[in-house]
Amino acid sequence: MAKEMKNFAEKNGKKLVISLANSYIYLILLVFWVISCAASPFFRTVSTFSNILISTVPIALISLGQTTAVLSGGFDLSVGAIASMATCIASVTMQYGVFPSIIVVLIIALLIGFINGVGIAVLNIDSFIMTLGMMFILDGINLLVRPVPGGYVPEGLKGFLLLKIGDFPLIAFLILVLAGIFGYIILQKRRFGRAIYAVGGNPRSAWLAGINPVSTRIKVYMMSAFCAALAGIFIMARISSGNANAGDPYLFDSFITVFMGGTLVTGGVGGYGGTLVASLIIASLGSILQFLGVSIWYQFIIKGFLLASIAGLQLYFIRKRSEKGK
Amino acid sequence: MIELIKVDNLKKHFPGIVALKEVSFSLKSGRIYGLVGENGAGKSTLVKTIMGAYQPDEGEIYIKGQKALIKSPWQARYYFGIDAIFQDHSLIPQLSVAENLSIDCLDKLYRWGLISQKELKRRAQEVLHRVCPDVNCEKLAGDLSEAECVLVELARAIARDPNVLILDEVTAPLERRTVEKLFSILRELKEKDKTIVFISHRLGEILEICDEILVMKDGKLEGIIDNTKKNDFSSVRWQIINLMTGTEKGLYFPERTNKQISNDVALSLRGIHNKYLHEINLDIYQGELVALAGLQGHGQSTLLRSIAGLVPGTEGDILLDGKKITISSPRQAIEQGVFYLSDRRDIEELWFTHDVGFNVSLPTITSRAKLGIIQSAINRETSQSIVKGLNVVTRSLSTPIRHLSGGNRQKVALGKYLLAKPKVLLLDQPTMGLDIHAKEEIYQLLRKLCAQGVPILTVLNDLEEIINLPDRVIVMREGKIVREFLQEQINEHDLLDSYYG
Repeated sequence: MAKEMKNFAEKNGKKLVISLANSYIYLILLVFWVISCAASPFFRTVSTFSNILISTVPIALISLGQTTAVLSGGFDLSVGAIASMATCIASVTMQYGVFPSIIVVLIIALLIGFINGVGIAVLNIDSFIMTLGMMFILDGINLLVRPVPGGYVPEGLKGFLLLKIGDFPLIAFLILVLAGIFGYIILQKRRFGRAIYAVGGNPRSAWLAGINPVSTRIKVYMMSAFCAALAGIFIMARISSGNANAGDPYLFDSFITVFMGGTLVTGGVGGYGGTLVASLIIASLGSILQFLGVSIWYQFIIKGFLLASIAGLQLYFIRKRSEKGK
Repeated sequence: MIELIKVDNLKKHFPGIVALKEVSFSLKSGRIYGLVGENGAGKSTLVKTIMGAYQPDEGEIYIKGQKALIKSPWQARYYFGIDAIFQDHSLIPQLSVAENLSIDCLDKLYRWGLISQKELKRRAQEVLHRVCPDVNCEKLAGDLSEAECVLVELARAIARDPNVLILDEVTAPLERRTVEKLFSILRELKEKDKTIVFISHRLGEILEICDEILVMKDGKLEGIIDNTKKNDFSSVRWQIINLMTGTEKGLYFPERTNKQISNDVALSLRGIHNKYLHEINLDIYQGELVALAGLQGHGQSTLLRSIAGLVPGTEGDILLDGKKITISSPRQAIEQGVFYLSDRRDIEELWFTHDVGFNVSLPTITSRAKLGIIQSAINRETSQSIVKGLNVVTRSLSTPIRHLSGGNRQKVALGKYLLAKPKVLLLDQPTMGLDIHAKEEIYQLLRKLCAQGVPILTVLNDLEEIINLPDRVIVMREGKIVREFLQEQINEHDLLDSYYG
């Protein structure tokens, strides 16, 4: 009896340690918030946290697509440009009606994702090159459509997306929750998600097991573009205009959050939960640096260091793990 | 007993090599077939062609008398009832065992649009129940041991209830007890009138379980040996090895120079060990040509790479001319005069997009520099002399290396080290993929180097080469030296016999 209990404790103790180790990201968030609250009196306000939630939304949405792209063993460098494109096209078409405009934007995004996916999965162009090319193509088109920021953004859409009850940004919060649920279901609970892990882990094994790597990858880039376009619409509501460069900074953020959230550069390992929390961290980081009066240039330097060191740490752990395995 | 699968005149070639030459046979239901052959005899290619992972260049496959065009492993499984466990495992390490088991029917396990974990687990336990009930189906496949991987794949294959089941080298990581369990499962399947093809390098296992044994050599089916009685193992074994050794004559080998071998030990290995090797002790004399032989992947190449400092975690002593040396990187190896030539010539040995001159001269280029400036005239002259000395057929030094034939590329790869005056040469399959003429030139070259006193340790895989080229053959199995043949003792039968445990 005692032995059984000991076994049980050992088994579950180990599980607890593992789950704690996997949730290191929550600890980072907590520690970060505590330090920030201590460092800046302005940070310790409800409205700060409400603003953080709002600025998390576009990061989290773009990163959802990037997570799937990285899990499938690729990259999507065009997400920032797709978000910019969404702001440009929506700001031009909003005058004809909010819903038709959003539908047009999303259809165009799916088309771009499809082209990315065909280039990568069918023509075997490296995902880095394909999406880099797509990014520049879109940048050009965006500037053609909207050479200077502006355009019409209906007050109703702005009011809805940025709706605050008291100080609480209800819709932003709901979007984050929905994104989390959606990301979890798609990646963990549907055949498509499992296929993404399989293809990212080893495309050949996946093929031998009867999964179609080509269609899986095409769908991944379509989903990535779709998420980026949704983020773009939110960004447009926030800056209340269309801007050909509005989405650019989010490309970088999407990589930091994906890798910080524990998804591996090598593909096939990770998930959206970590990415979502990492999005909160990155939004908070931007906010606290702003409160501390750190100029935007230093923010770039800090984020650059962060990305490189996270990727380096990951590779270190992968190597350690594989050495232990063999 | 019906004819389940018939292969007619199957041909397949890959760039540079013919993998299958006119292979024809037919397999009946309710029988276990063995498939044996040396490394590169075409066994795995045959399996992959039948499974639709490769398309044959010519020839047909008939399933139950019907002509079958098998386009993918998926089709082979679901339309034609053929399943295979490939040598390179096909479990996806990032998914759990349960998910792997149901990978092709995940969408049938939906409940409310989500994959039902309960259903997934129930199905996994059902599938694993017979073969390996103690494997935890919630584990990630990547955390399983090699043996567990094999068993899980076997369970998955059996659950699909195939008519033909092909097992490609699955017993290698299994211990005896598990092999016996596997055999009892195979016998059960045989009772159910299934056809099983069992590929193994362990002849003992083949003799124990198989009713008929197909022997392949150089992409051809050499013969089918009956073993239904299972009582005369030694004679059947002898027949198998005979079929495997029948060689085509034609290569000319230079005379051995063992008279010139002195009694001075040049390279001496003392207790070399790492993850793949166990306590390797070996002395190589001045001017001696020593071959490492054995089944592929039993440590021969690893031993060369370990000496050259390419395998981390290698321990033990290496003595060169009686002095202990430490090699922990290729650079150190080169500084000590120990040169290693990889078997992946085009990837690891040559700068493929550069010209001949660049390739020959780069490793030693600093020795022809004055005040840090490379003396291009001297450099060209030196490169020219080595290229001429090795009879490299090339228009000029500035011809891109990729325009050269395989044999000439190999000469360039060797030449770049000869410029540095090597003390020991470690060569991994120096004649792999070369035509007969080029092979013979390489043999001459190696002999010439030996005559100059350079000892050579080389991995060889071709039986004819092993028998005729070296002064001494070291046979390795499972990371250990198991036998040694002096030149006059080498004979095909004993040699091949020593490969197998």
